[in-house]
Amino acid sequence: MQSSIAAAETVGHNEDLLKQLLLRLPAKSLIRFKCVSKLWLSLISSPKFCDSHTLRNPILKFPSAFFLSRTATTDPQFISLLPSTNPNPSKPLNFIPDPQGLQILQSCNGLLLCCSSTDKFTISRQFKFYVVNPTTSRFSEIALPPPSPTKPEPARLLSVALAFDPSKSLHYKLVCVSGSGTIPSLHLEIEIEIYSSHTRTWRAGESTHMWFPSIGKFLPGVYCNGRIHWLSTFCWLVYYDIDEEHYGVVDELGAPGFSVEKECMCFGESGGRLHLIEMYGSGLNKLRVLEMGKDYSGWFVKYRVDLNLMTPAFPYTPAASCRPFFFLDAEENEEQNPVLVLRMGYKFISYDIRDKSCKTLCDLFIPSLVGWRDAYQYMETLACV
Amino acid sequence: MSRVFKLKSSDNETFEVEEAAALLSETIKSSSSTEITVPNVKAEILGKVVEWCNKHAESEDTKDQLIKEWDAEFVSVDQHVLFKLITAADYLQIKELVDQLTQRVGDMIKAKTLKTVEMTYPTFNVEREVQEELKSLGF
Repeated sequence: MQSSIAAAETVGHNEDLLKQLLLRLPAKSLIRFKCVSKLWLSLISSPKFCDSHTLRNPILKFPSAFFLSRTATTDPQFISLLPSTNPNPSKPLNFIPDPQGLQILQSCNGLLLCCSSTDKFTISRQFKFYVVNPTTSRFSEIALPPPSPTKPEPARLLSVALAFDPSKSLHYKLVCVSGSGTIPSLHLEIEIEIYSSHTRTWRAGESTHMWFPSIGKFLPGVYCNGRIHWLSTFCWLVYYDIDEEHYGVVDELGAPGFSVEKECMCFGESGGRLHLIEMYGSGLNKLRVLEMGKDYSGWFVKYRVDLNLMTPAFPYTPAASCRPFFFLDAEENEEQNPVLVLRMGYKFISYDIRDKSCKTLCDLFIPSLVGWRDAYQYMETLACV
Repeated sequence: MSRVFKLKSSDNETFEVEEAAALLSETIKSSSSTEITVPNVKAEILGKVVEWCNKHAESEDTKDQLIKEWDAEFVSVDQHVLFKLITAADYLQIKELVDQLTQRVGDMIKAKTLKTVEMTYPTFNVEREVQEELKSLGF
C-alpha cells in the first residue's frame, strides 16, 4: 500500500500527467474532485483546462436533471432525473445575485440563458441577460445593444436565443431579434444582432422584412444543428442559421396541422432533431410526440401515448392538469429509452415510452398551478462562460 | 540492419530493444546514444514497457481487435504497477501508452466514485467521501 501511494503521488504531482488524467473524467466528477487538493482545485478551475475538457468531452445527450423556471413568486427549482433519495437543492441558481430573481429562457448543451425578469413574457431591452453554467456556478452578464436611434419607431424585442455547440466551438453566440411594424400586418421589419463570446461584442446581422412567429410577446428559441428555431401556436417554423447567417422559413407542410385545441404544445430538441409534444383528444387524454423530418420535410408522429393507460398507476388527476415538459429521444445501442417528462397533477413523472413505465421524480409541494412553468434540461459541462 | 538499443533500469538490468520498438519512445528517438538509462524505473516495470513496445512495433495496424484486447489486458494491473508504468511511459514519452494507462486510471476513478459522484448532483456535499475514495486509490 505504501508503494502504491508513493507511486500515485508521483503521478498526482506531475501536473502534465494529472491534466491528462483529469481530461478523461466527466465534468460531473471533476466538479467534485476540486476538494482533493490545491493542485487539483487550481487545475480544474483554470479556464484553459476547462476549454480543453469541453472540446474533448462530448456533451452528454441525456440530462441528469432539469430546472423548472420561475413563477412570479417562486425561484427556479432543480429536479433530478436520477434515482436518488436525496432531496433536491432548493435554490440552485443562488450564485447569481439579482434582486429581481431569474427567469430561465433556454437551455443549450449545458449552458442556460437567463433573464432578470419576473415572467417570461414581459422582457424588454433594459433587462439583464445572463449566460450561466450551472455546473461550475459561473455566469456572464450581457446587456443587449441599445435600439438603433435612426428608426422612427422603436423595435420590439422579440427574442434572445443562445447558440452553443461545443462540438463546433468553445464560444457561444446570442441572437437578438427585434421587429417593428403594426400588429395587423403579417410582416415585420426584422433586425438581428449577434453577440459572440469570443469578441464579447454585438454586431448587426441580417435585417429583413418578413414574418416572425411572435408579434407582440417574447419568444425563446430552440437551438438545433447550427440553427436557432422559433415556433408558436398557429405558426410556421422559422430559423436563423448561425454559421451562414441567414434567415429561413419552413412552410406549413400540411402535417398534423396546428389548431386551437393544441394549446398544450411543447417545442424542443433532442438528439439533433426537433420535437413537438401535443396533447389532443376529448378531455386532452392523448399525447403525441412529433419529430421534424430531415431537411424540414415535415412533422411525423413518432410516438403516441394514451394518458388513460397511465392513470391506474397514479391517483386520479383531471386530464387538464397533465402537462408535458420535454421529450428525450432514444439513442440506438444505448440504455436510454425514449422518455417523456410530464406533470400529472401534483407530481412530476418521467414516462418511459418503450417500457410504458412511470417513475415519480418529485412531488410538487405548491399545489398552485398558476404561473407558467417550463422545464430546462441540465447537463454537466465545464464550458467557460 | 536495424539498430539495437540498450535500456538500463535503475536496478542495473539491461533490456535490448529493436529499433522499431525503441523508436516508439520520443525520448529514445531524440537521444544521441543507443544506451539509455531510465532513472527511477525498476526492471520489473521497464520490462513491461519494453514488452508493450515490442508488441506495438510488430503489428502495423493498431486498430486491430487482437491488439486492443492485448492492450486491455496489459493495463489491467494492480494500482501500484499502473502508476509506476505511467511514470515510466511518461519519462520515455510513449504517448499512446500514456494515453492507455491514464484512460485506465480514469476508468478506475469513475468506478470507485460511482455512487458518491455519479448518483448525486453537484450541490450535494460529498467532499469527505470523495476524498476518502480517491485516497484509497492513492491520490
